[in-house]
Amino acid sequence: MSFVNYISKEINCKIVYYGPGLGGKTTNIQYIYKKTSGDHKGQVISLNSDNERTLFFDFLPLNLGEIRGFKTRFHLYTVPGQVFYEASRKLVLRGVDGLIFVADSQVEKLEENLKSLASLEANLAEQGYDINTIPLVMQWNKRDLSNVMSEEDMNEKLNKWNVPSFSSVAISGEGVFETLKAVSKQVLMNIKGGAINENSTSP
Amino acid sequence: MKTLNEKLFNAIKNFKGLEKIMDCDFFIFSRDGIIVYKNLSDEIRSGQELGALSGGLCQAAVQLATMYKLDGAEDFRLDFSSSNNGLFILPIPVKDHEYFLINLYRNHMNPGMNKIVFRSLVNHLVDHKEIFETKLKEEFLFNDIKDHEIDQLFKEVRL
Repeated sequence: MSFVNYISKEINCKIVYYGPGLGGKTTNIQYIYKKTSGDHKGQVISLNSDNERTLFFDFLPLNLGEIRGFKTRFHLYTVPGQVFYEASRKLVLRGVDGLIFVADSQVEKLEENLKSLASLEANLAEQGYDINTIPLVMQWNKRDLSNVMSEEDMNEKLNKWNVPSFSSVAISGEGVFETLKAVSKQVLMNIKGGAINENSTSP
Repeated sequence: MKTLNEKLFNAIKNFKGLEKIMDCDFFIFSRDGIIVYKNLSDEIRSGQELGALSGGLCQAAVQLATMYKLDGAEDFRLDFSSSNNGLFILPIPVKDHEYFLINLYRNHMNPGMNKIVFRSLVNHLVDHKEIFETKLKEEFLFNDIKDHEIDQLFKEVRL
């Protein structure tokens, strides 16, 4: 849930990268970290296994600039993609303000994409969110590979909500910031009813 | 109109055991990992990472206990420590268990005493639970954000 401090003019929002395992969620965060200047980012926190598969979440705090007088902080999280980490995904989704669904564009990954999307829809509903209204963008990742579905097919099969979609090659950064900017705009325009005056500054 | 941080600062300032805790490293955070009050020495990274990890830790612990069908898991304390180093998390039982307090300590001769004092602090905050009451605004904060505003937001941070 977004935190707005009307006195210090600060906004905190939570964005979650969701999607099937090895689809590119962590790669997105890593690229963003690499391409963000030092003053505007914290450390990437990665809770992962020995083979660097996300175990619980990745986290990257981004201190963006000001928008209409408000300093903006985005808290970027990824969820673990492997099927058996469903409980962890539910926890990471709590308090989410915006979502990026990172799909693996390879033809053979369609089933996994669909299952992950179904899990997202169910987990959101369980927490009282409506996937039809929560800020959401789709990212069709791994567009550089040879065995990928067309973007039209990706949209037809996976984007029944007709939300903005972006092609990407996260490992090179293509489409990464475009996706993040799109969901950021939705999140900022959706801020209302956030708790007032709760933020961290030392007295 | 005071911020939550300011209200917590005032409440903690009025806590009788204040002198026992002001040399301690502790902060108060929400379940979502937002730090709302902190008293940390300069050498500690005081960024949002601490909040995110703490929030994740608490959520995972409650979930694990709930899955094991332990009643009242949201009131459990979390202790990760050796005899003189560690961290200790207390739930603050207000507002649907939204907030927690964490004490981090190093080379402490008597961490048990700290725990007693911090439990007392939590009770003190619960006695002033109106601190945590927040008003929600219903109107949208922004109307019609333009693409160039988003571009500008990110322009300042990108290498």
